Amino acid sequence: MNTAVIIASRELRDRARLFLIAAAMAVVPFGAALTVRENRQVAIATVACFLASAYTGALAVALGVSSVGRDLTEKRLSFFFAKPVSAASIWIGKAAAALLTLAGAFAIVVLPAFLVANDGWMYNWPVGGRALTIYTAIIGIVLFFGSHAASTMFRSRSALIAVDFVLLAAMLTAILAMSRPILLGGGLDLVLKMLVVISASLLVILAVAPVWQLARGRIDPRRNHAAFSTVLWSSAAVVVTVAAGYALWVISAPLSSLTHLYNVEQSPDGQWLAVSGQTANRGEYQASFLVDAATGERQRVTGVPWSSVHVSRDGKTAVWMESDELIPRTGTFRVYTRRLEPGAKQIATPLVMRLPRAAQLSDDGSRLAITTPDKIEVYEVGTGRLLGATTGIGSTTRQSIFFAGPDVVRVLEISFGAVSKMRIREFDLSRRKLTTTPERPAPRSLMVQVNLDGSRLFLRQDGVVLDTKTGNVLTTLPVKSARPFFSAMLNDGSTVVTRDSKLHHFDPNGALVAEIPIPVQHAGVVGLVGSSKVLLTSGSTYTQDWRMLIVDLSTRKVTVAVPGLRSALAWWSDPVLPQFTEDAAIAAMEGERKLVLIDARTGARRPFPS
Amino acid sequence: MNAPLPSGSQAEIRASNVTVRYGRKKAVDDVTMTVAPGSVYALLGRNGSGKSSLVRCFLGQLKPQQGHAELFGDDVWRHRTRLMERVGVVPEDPDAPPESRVKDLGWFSSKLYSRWQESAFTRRIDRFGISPAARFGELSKGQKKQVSLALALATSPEILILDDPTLGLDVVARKSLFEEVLGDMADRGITVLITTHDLAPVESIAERVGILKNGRLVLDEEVETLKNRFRRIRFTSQPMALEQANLVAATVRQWGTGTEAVISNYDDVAFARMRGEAHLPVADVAPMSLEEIFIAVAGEHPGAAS
Repeated sequence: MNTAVIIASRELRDRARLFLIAAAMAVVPFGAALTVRENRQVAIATVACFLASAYTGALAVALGVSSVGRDLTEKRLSFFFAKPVSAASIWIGKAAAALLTLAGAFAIVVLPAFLVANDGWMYNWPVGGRALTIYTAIIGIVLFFGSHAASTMFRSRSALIAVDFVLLAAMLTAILAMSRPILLGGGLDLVLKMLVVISASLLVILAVAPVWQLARGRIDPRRNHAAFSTVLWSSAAVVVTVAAGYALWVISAPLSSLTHLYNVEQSPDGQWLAVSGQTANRGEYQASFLVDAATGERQRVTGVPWSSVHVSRDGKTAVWMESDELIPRTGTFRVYTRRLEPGAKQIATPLVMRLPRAAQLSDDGSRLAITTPDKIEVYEVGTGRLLGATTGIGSTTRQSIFFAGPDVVRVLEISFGAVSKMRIREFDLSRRKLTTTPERPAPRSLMVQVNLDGSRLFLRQDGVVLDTKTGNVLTTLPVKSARPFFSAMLNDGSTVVTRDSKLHHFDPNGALVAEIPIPVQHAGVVGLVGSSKVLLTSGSTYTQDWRMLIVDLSTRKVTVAVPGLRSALAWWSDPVLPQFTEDAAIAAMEGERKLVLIDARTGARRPFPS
Repeated sequence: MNAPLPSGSQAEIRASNVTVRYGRKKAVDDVTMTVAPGSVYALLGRNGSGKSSLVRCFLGQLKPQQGHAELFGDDVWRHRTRLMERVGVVPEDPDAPPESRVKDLGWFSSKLYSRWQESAFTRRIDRFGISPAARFGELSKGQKKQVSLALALATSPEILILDDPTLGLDVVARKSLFEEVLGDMADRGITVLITTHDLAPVESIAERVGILKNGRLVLDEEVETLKNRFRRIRFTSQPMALEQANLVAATVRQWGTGTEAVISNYDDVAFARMRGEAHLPVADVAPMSLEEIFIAVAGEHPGAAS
C-alpha cells in the first residue's frame, strides 16, 4: 500500500466522530420538516443543504488549520517524520484524508434528504443539487488549503508573517494593476478568465507548496513557514509574471489587430484619425489610437473606449477621458487632450468628471459641453475651468448636445413615456440664461442632425427640419427615408434622402432640387465633402455588396464609386455630421478588419498605415 | 511500500561538525561524535544543552546549519525516508496522535515497516498492561512512553534512539522500560543512542558516554575509561599539591586547610607520588559514579571541565 494511502487511512480512522456528527445532522432536516404543514420536501431539502454546506465549510477550516498546523505546534509531526514516510506522502495523505472527510460529511448530511425529498431538492432549492455540490466542493477545497496556509503562517509566530502580508498586498496590487487597463478597455471577460486562471494556479500552489514545506521545514514551525512562504510567493510571482505578460500582450494590441471598429473620427483633411475598435484574439478588449495617416505616427490612447476619442470639427484637437484611479471607485475620469500635430504630446487637463450623458466639443476643441443627469455644464478644456452651468434639465431623458456658436449650447431632450415628447433647451453662456422650446412629439428615431451653425435640427427618420431656437417645424420633406441614416442635412440647410436608387436633394424649404441616380437602392449619408458633396455608404452583411460613393450635388453626378468598401466613420449617433475637405483621404473598411483610405477626388484607395 | 534496505551499511551513528542555531543562539556547536555499531552510547547534558537538537539531527528532522549527521553511513537529512525503516525512536515527548487507539498505532506501523513484528508489539502492550483499544491521549505519560517503546522495538530496528525515555516516569516504569531495551539488545545487538537524566541504569548498559554542555561536546569517552580516570580526592593540604603531582582537578572545594577535588586524570602512581611529596598522612580517594562525574563535568561551577 502506498504510504500516502496508509497515512490517509490512519487519519480517517481518527475521524469517526466527525462522521457521527454528520449522521446526527442528517436527521435534523426530517425533524425540521415536522414543524411545517406544507412543502415538507422543500423544508427537508433546504435544511439539509444549509447544514451540509455549513458543516462542510466549518470542517474545511478546522481541518485546514489542524491537519498539519496543530501537529506542528503540538510537536507531534515528529511521529510521522520518525517513520519511513516522505514529506510528500505525509502531506498527500493528510490532505486526501481531509478532503475525503469533507466529501463524506457532506454526503452523509445530504444523501438521506436527497433520497427522500428529491423533488424538493431539484425544484425548490435555488441553486439546485448539482450546483450546490460543486460550489460546496470548490469552497471546501479553497477553505481547506487557505486555512492550512494561514495556519502555517500564524502558528509559526515568526516575523516572516509581515513579509507575507507585504507580498500578498503586492500580489493583489499587481493583479489589480494588470486588470485595470484591460477592464478600462472593456475586457471584463478577459479579466474574469485571467482571475479564474490565476486563482486556480494559486490554489494548485497552495495544494502543492506544503510538500516543500514539510520536506524542508519538517518538524520546525518556523522553518515550515519559511519553506512554505518561499515556495508560495516564488510560484505566485511566476504566475503573476505570466499573467502580467499576458495582460501586457492584451493592452499592447497593435493598430493592425483592430477588428469591428466602432468609432472612427477624422480631421476634415483626413490626416488625423481617432480609431477605436475591438481587438483580435483578445476577447472583448477594445483599443483606441490617434493616427497620423500622413506619417504613420500613432499614439495609443488608454481612454475609456465607450467614451471614444473625439476630434474637434476643425480637426486640430482630440479629446478623450481616462481613469486616474487604480480602482475606479468614484467613477470619475480625467479629460485628456492633444493637439493633432506631428510630435505633439497628450496633456492631462485638470478636468475630472463622471462620464457625461452627452458631450460635444466646440468646433475649435477649446470647450467641452456636457450634460449630467440634471445639468448642462461648459468647460474650458485646457484649464478645466467651468465656464457656465445650469440646472433644470430633465433627468429621465435622452439627451443630445451641440454648440450653436461658441457661447450657445443647445440640448435636445427626449423624454419617454406613453406619449414621448421632445424639446430643445438653449443655454446662453454669456447671459447665463436657459430657454426651452415648447414640447412636441418625439421623433421616431433618436438619430438627429444639426447644421453647421446649429440653427436647424433634422429629424432624420421623420424627414422634418426644426428651428432649434423655437422648436418650430421649418420643413417637412415629401420623401421619407427607409432608415434614419439614409438622409442628412447639409451645411446650408438643404437636405438629401436616398431612396429607390436616387439621391433626392431638397432645398432648405423642402422643395425638390434634383433627383440624382445612384448605383444602389439606398445608401447611408455619412459625411459631407467640400461645400456640395455628400459621402454615401451602402451594403450590409456581404462585403461584395459594399460600396462607397461621393455625389456632387452641384453637378448632380456620382464622382466617386468604390466597390468593396464601406464607411468606417462613426455616423450613427453624433448630431454633427463629419465634414471633409475636397481632397481628404477618407477612412473606409475593406472587409471586417482592414482599414484603407480613399481619395475624395478620385476614389483611389491607399493602405492605412498599420 | 518501503524502499529496499541498503545492504552492507553498518548501524553506525555519526555526527560531523554538526552546528544547529536557533536565531543567534547556538544549540549545538560543532559536535563530532560516533556511535559504533552494536554499542550503547549515552548522550548526557543538562536541560538546554543541545541533546534534543542533536537527536533531531540524527533523525533527519532538523537540518544542521553546518556539518551533517549520518546513520548507516548516509546523510540522514537527505535519505531520512529510507533510513528510518531501520531506526526505532522513542521521543522525549510522546508524539503519537492523541485520538488514535493503541492498536491503530500498531496497524499504522505494521504497514510502514517491512520487519514489523506484530506479536512482539502485542506481547509488550499486554505486558505493560495497556488496553489496545485505549486512545493514546488518554494514557498516562508512562504508558505513552511504553507504547512508544513497544512501537519502536516492534519495527526490529538496527538503531534505537531513545530521547530521554524515562523523563517523568516512576521508578517501576523506568525499570520496565530499561528491561525491555536490555532484552532487545541482548536478542539482537542493536545500536542504541540514549539521552537521559537517569544515569544509574545507563551506567550499567552504556559503553560510551558523551556530555554536551552549552551545545559543545565536552566529553566523549568509553564509560570504563571515564570512570577509571575520575576520582574524588580529599586531603589535608592546599590545592597546589595537585598541580605539583600533575593531577588535573575538574572541581576543587576547600574547607579550612582541607581540599576536596574531582580529578579527571587520576592514576595510582601519580596519587602515591603526591601523597609522598606533599607529606599527606591523610588522603582519601574514592571512585565516582557516572552521575557524580556528570555533575562535575556538566555543572556550572567554574572548575567544571573534562
